[in-house]
Amino acid sequence: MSCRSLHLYAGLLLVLIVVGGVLLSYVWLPFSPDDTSGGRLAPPGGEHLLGTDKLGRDLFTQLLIGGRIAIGTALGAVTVGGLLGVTAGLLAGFASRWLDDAVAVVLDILIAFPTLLLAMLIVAGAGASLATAVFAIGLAMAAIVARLTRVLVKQVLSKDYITAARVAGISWPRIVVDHVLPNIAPTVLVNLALQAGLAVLAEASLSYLGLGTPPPNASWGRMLFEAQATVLTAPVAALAPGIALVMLVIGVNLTADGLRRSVR
Amino acid sequence: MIRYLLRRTAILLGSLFLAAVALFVLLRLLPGDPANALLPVGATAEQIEAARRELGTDAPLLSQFLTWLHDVATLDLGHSLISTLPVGDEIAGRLPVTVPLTLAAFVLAVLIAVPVGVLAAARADRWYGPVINAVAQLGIAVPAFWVGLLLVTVFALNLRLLPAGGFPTDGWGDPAAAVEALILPVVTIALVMSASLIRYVRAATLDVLNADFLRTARALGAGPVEAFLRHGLRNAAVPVIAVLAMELATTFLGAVVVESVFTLPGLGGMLTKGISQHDYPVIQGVMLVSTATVLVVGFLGDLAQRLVDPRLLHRAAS
Repeated sequence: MSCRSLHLYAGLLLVLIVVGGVLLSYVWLPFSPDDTSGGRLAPPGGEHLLGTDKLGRDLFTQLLIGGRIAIGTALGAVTVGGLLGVTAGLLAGFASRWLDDAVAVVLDILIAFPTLLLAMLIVAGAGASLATAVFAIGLAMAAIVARLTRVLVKQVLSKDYITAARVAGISWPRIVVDHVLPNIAPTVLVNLALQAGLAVLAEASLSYLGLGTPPPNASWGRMLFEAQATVLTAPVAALAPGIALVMLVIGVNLTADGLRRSVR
Repeated sequence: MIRYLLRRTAILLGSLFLAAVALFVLLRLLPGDPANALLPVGATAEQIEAARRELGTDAPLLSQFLTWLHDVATLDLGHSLISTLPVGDEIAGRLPVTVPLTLAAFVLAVLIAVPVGVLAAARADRWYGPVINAVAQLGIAVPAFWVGLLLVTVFALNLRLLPAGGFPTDGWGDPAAAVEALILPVVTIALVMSASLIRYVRAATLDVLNADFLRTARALGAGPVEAFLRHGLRNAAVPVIAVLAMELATTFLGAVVVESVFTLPGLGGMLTKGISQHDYPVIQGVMLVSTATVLVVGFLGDLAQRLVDPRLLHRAAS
C-alpha cells in the first residue's frame, strides 16, 4: 500500500470511529445525559464504562455527546469558512486591480488576527455559546480560505482556455461554474479539511477557557477543564476526552494529507 | 533595503490602524451594553443613562472612536470597569509573566525543532525519520492545554518535582521560585509548538538537500556536513524564518490558554477574566496589545527574512 493511501485510510478510519460514536449517540446512549444515579466519581468499569464525573453523570455518555459538538463544530465552521471564504476569494480574484489590492491587505490583517483572538473578541460581545464559537472560528477560517481562493482564481483566469471561453462568448457566471470552480475545488477542499482539524482544536480551547459551549453541554474541552480538579482521583476523566480529541484531529489531518497527495 | 523598509513600515502602521478600527467597531457593534457591567440587575432607565454618560458611550460612535484613539496614542488604555484600576498598569504588571513565558517557550521550541527537523530530513531513510514524522503529526493534533494538564499530573501532582500552578506573589523577587513556576508552562508550549516547526524545518531542509548547488558543493569535495552548514543552512533558513515569526505570535497566543491551565497571572488570564466579566476596557486593552505584538513580530520577521536573503528585496517589487 502506498504512503498516500495509508494516510488516507488510517485517517478515514479514525474519523469514522468518532462519527460512528456520534451517530450511535442519536439512537442509543448508555445513560441519560443528566442521569446522576451512578454516584459521584465512580471508577471505570461495570455499568459505567469510563466511570462518572463529579456530579455523577456517566462519562461515556458525555464523551459521545461531546463528539456531536466536535463534529458539529468541524462541519459548521467549514461551512461558514468555505462559503464566506470562497465567495470573497472569487470576488477578489475577479475584481479590478485596485479593489483586489485592498482586499488582499484586509485579508492579510485578518489573518494576522489569530483565530483564537478573533473568536474571543466575538465571544466577548456576543456571549459564550456553541453557535458564537462556530461562527467566530468559521470567520477566521474564511480569511485563510479567501486568500487561497483568490490566488487560485487568478491562476485559472490567466489560462488560455478561459480566454478561449470568453472569445466563444460564454458569460462570466457560466465560466465560474464550468471552469473556475471545478479547477480550484480540489485544493480548496483539502485546505478546508485541514482547517476542520484546527477548528475542532479551537473550539476545545475556547470551551476549556469557559468561552465556548456553556455547561451542562459536554464539549470535550469543557470536560477536560472539569476533570482537571479531580485528575488524581479520576484520571480517566482527564484522559478520555483528550484521546478522543486527538483521535479526531489526527484522523482529519491524515485524511487531508492523503487527499492532498492524491490531488497532486 | 531602505525603500522596502519604508514600504513595510507603512503597511505596519496601516494594519495597526485598521486593527484598532476593527477592534473598536467589533466591540461596539456586538450586542451587550458596557453600562450593564456597572449596574445591578434591574437598574432604572435613569441609572443606565447616567452610567452611559460616565463611560462616554452616549456620545456619537465617531467621537468615541477619536477619543479612544487619542487615549491609546498617549498610552492611556482607560480604566477597568470592575477594579477601576488603569488597564495600562495592569497589563504592565502582567507582562513579567507572559513575556518570559513566551520567549523561553519560543527559544526552547526552536532548540528542539531545528536539530530534530534537520535530522528527520537528512536521515529520512533511517528508522527515526518516519518516527519523528509520526511524533510531529501527533504533536500538531494535541491541544496545548491537554499537554499542560498531563504534565501537571505527572510532574507536579505525582512526582511533586515542580509547582502545579500559580506564580510567586512578589513576582521575580525570588527568581528561583519564579523560574520554577514557569518550567512546566514553558515546556508545554514548547512541545506543542516544536511539533509544527519540525515539519517546516524538515520540508525546508529536504528542499535544500535536493538542490543543485548542494550537489555541486559535494562534487567540489565538501563533506556532507560542511556543505550543508556552509551552503544549505542559510537557504533552508529563509522559509523557516517566515514561519518562526508566525510561530512566535502563535506562542504568545498559546500562552493565553496555557496560562489558565497553570493559573499564571499573565495577559491570558486577564483577557479571559475580562471577557467573562464584560470588562470592555480590559478586553480592548489586552486585545490591542496582543494584536500590536503579533503585527510587529510579523514586521520583524519579514525584515529578518530579507537580511538573510537579499534576493527577496528585488522580488518583492512585483
